[in-house]
Amino acid sequence: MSVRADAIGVDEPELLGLGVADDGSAEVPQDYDRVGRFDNGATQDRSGATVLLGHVDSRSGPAVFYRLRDLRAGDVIEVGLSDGTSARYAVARTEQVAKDRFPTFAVFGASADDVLRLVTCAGEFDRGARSYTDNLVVHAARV
Amino acid sequence: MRRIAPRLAFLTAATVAFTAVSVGTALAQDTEVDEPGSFTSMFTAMATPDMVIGTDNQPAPGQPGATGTFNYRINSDQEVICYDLTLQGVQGDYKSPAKTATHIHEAQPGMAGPPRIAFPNPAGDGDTRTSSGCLQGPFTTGVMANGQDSGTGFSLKEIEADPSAFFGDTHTADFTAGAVRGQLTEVPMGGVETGAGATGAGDTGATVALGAAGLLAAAGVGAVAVRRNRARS
Repeated sequence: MSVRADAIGVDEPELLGLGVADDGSAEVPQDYDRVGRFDNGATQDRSGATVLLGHVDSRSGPAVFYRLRDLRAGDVIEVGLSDGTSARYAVARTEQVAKDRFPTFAVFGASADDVLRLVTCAGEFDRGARSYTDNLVVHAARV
Repeated sequence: MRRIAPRLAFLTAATVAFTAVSVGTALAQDTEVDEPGSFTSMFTAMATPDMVIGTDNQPAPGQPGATGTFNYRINSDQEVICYDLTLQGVQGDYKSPAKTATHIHEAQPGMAGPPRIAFPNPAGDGDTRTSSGCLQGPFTTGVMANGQDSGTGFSLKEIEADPSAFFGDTHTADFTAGAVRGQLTEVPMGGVETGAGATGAGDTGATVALGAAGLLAAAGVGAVAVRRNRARS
């Protein structure tokens, strides 16, 4: 699978496969310049939700989803599927959420509709926790 | 095999449950409880009509066009499951030999299996029906199998050990095998760690950067810790 969002200069020819880490949190790409897709492992998945995770920055500078914050309603994101076809999504809305009140099912939950959700970090960088306080979630719908 | 020990342990409870059912008393052992302060795991299921399987393990018709979005949060230490169930387009009355018609069953995809938990049926006007709350075990379904309730001995830790071996569904008078059905899949808990701080506001000095690097270097895609509350078989 691949993802392309011209509005923010993202063009990733191959997505990493991500799952649930042993501590129950979401696995994230080890490479700051790669985008990962959450794979729930289902053999026959009827959910229409595609969830992509990417870093906002690395230790030294901006990372692949640094400009996610610049996506605006209507911006087009194209996802290349494993069967060679592609699906176009239009941004519907962006929300910034505190990690300690993360809307798990609004991001990772099943969806009857064909939707795309992109996630990166936002907010303040908490030095003690070595973690951003918030996540930025972009919701897009199939067009 | 892992169910043998719990079944023996709950023999007394099963006898009590059987007696209660046999005299026609609608006793619910499952207790509606407040939401716990934390959860050990979370699961979602996309339930659709094409996944419905009859008791003969053959595909059975579900309700065309209907969907169910089933979200579950589990605290397996307390045997509490919180549920947020949404049905779209499910019509008509519920019907099931169990005490409710909305369940988690134990079975692989494409197979039938017994209910382990019975949830209050989703309700609402129009096209959307919802049901939310938290139940605490021991669980009962009202379905008798092998002389005991099919929820007897069931532990939420079994879902955590193998979520794909369980599915959510709801049964109606028109679609008794199920209007919609979907296998459980695990979802991550908490926020997503997608930043190492180089561009973050505030003090993002070398100490911070080193810490974030260590966090991410632990495994192929960032798995870092051993889950403690997991009973993997």
